[in-house]
Amino acid sequence: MNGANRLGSNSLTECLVFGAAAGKAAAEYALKLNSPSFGNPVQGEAMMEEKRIFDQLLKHEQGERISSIRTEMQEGMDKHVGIYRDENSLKEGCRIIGDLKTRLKNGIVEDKDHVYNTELVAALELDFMLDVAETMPYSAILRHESRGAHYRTDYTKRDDTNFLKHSVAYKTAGPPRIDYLPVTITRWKPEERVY
Amino acid sequence: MSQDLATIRVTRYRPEKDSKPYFQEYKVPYRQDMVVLDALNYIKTEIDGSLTYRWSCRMGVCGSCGANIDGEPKLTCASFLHDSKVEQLPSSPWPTSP
Repeated sequence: MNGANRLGSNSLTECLVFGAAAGKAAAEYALKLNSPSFGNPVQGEAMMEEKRIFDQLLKHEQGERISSIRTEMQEGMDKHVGIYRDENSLKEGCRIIGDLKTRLKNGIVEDKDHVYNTELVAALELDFMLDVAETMPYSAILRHESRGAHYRTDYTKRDDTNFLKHSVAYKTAGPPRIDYLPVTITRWKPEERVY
Repeated sequence: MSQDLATIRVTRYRPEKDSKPYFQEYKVPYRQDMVVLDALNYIKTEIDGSLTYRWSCRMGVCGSCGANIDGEPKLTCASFLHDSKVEQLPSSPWPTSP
């Protein structure tokens, strides 16, 4: 949506566009299912998720605190998947996020309260953040060019022949699968940035 | 050089455990440029994950981190520790807030 120009404050338009798309898709999915009752697939999933959070995650007593995993994610992404990247740093980024996802399975939440538990919220958010973080080095490592905020020190030129396309990451049981979608060009033609 | 420590005195209240609010003290490594929110984040990250407080933007824009600091309603992200002698922070923001 922002093309390669995903810099600070563009998150606002991203929230509006992807929020609307996600909401519409969720509503269409829900309408296709049977009316809510026991045995409804969404209800089953919701109950399993509640069980996972309250019977498993909150009951872990031994393990690693989630704050150290989050800090290492932030530092690892900044160091290896920041604006200047290359093959080696992106490989390291993939490895770090993969390791952190494994460590999070053994993560503990110290705050066991059921009321206003911001540490539990942080743990659930971190789980999603690691999924999102992982899409970045995995898609960037395949993009052998530089474009917008993606600057490869080993491929410094923009390559419209091979990479004028959207990277799309799909969740799998392992690392994300990266695929591509064509870019719809309307009013503004792509041009090299020369300023 | 040994690191200076600041003592932060915080109001705690966990209704599932406590009959009434009480104060808890934490010691955090002190830096001249640190704001109250930095100290709270240090405590939550390094010492006690159950300390709970609101915050969002960290830059004085959103108002989410309002708290009583030395008895005054202020933003924790915009209040320097060096302006305080004693910090008294409710973990839920202002008396009127839930």
